[in-house]
Amino acid sequence: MKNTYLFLACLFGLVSFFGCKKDDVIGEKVSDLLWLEHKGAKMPILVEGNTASKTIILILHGGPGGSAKVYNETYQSLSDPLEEKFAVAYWDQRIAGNSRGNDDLDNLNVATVVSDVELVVDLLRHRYGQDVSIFLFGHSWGGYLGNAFLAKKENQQKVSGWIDVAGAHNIWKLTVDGAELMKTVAQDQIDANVSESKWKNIRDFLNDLNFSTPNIDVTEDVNAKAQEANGLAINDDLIGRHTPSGKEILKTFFSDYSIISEFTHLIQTSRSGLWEEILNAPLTADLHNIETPALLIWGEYDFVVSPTLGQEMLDSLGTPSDDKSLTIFNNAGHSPMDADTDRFVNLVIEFVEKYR
Amino acid sequence: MKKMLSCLALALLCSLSLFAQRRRPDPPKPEFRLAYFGDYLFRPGVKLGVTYPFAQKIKEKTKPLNREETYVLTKTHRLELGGSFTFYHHPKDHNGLLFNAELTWHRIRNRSYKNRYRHFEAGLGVGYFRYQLIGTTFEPDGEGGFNEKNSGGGNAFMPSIFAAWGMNLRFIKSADVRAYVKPLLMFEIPYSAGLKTHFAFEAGLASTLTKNKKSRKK
Repeated sequence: MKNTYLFLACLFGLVSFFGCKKDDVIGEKVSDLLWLEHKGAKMPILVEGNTASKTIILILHGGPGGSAKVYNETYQSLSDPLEEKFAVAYWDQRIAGNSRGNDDLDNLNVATVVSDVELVVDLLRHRYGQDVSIFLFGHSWGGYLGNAFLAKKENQQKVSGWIDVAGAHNIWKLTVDGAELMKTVAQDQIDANVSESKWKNIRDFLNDLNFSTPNIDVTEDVNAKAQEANGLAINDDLIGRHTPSGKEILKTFFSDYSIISEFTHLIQTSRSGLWEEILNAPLTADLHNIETPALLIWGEYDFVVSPTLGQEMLDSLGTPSDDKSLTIFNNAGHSPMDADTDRFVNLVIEFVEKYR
Repeated sequence: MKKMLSCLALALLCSLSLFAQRRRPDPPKPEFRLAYFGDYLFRPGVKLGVTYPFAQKIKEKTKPLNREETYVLTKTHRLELGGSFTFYHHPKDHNGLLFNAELTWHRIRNRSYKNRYRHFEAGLGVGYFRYQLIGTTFEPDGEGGFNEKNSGGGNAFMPSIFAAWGMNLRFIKSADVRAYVKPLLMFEIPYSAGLKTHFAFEAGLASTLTKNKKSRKK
């Protein structure tokens, strides 16, 4: 019996040893894992890079239900140069990525997730000092979230800049405009006899949809077609692709990023009322309240979030015109960082250097 | 008459040789296991376990080996209860501790002319899963600050289903040792707002920790 107790004590000691390893949090090559517990969720925030720069880029990932760690694991050509100059905080939102806990789908609503963003920003200041400059980097659904966070005036004081990459601030507009863009591109490809039958299928499917009133089913159908069109456009060389390096692929297998967790969360999210909520709460009318310096980046062939939303954002943001810009990447889809990673990284670094 | 006697003698000899190939079944013994455990194959861990057979049935069939000889195919079916402890490490995420109870149906096949035992197992388990988060856990204190938690982590129920394939290691003559591989499907409940499926893989050694009879004679 004594031996059993000794064995168990050794095991718990081993777990504590692995669990409590703590490194210096300020430095040029830091890897600091924080967890935020809030309303049943345990959300990881992995801060990597140069925290000594006192500048942190907080990733608001897409989905809902996606993962921030994707940008760390499979986009090393994006994350490495950013981490060299600044620190990047990869936060997995509740019911997304590698987050855990005993959560409730009722908690997956805009108000709660925005309060999570507020806490993450506060926690980063608590951990790295009140003098850190924090930049939000939102992609797709992360764009909606960033705008919802910044629509509160008091939150704008907490961040130095807003990088919105194909942000989905108006779900019905992106549905209608995305369908229009797909139909236009489909017609061009049909006329050019490129993947004719496949583009015809997409065009005909979209022609049969009824866009008269906002409808979640139509949004889901258009989103599914946008993914299909994106794949087709990559095959037709309209959209540049990101081919992961061997190191990136290897890292995916042996790393903390869990594709199963992300998949699990995407399924859970699809059962929540979040999509319905954001469909019925476009943020266009709130954009004029946002005065934070903004860098907007879109892809020319973004069928998921049409570049017309980028233009609408540029026109609607309350930010002085010198402090906001829209860059549209040719040969790019929903992830413009895929098409020209170096240009993308340079734009981000330039923007952060200017406003930090 | 002579022919009849010689036939009888031949039949007696054959049956004697047949019985000689049969071994008296050993009473079931607890089996100890040590294995590599990989959560999603690559998140490394170690598993220690013990199984106890509580029911056993042995079926023997005589089968032709060639035109002149026969062999005995022995199939041992067991029901086993087991307990195990697993530790694994998910880098930059958590360390997992899993206490599991398993009910296993275990079949062992042996052909009398071979010293090879093939094992197949299938079963289900119920487990208590404790995960210890790596890093520092914070909780808002409600006044704009944060409390640092000493031990961030959580608990979950973890049922599982599994199958295993194994074979005795004939080159270890002194003891009864077998190697096995065991894919598992585990369900972490709760996980966020539902459950999460874990695909795990176990590869290890199992032994009753008893010396082989031949080895004892030596």
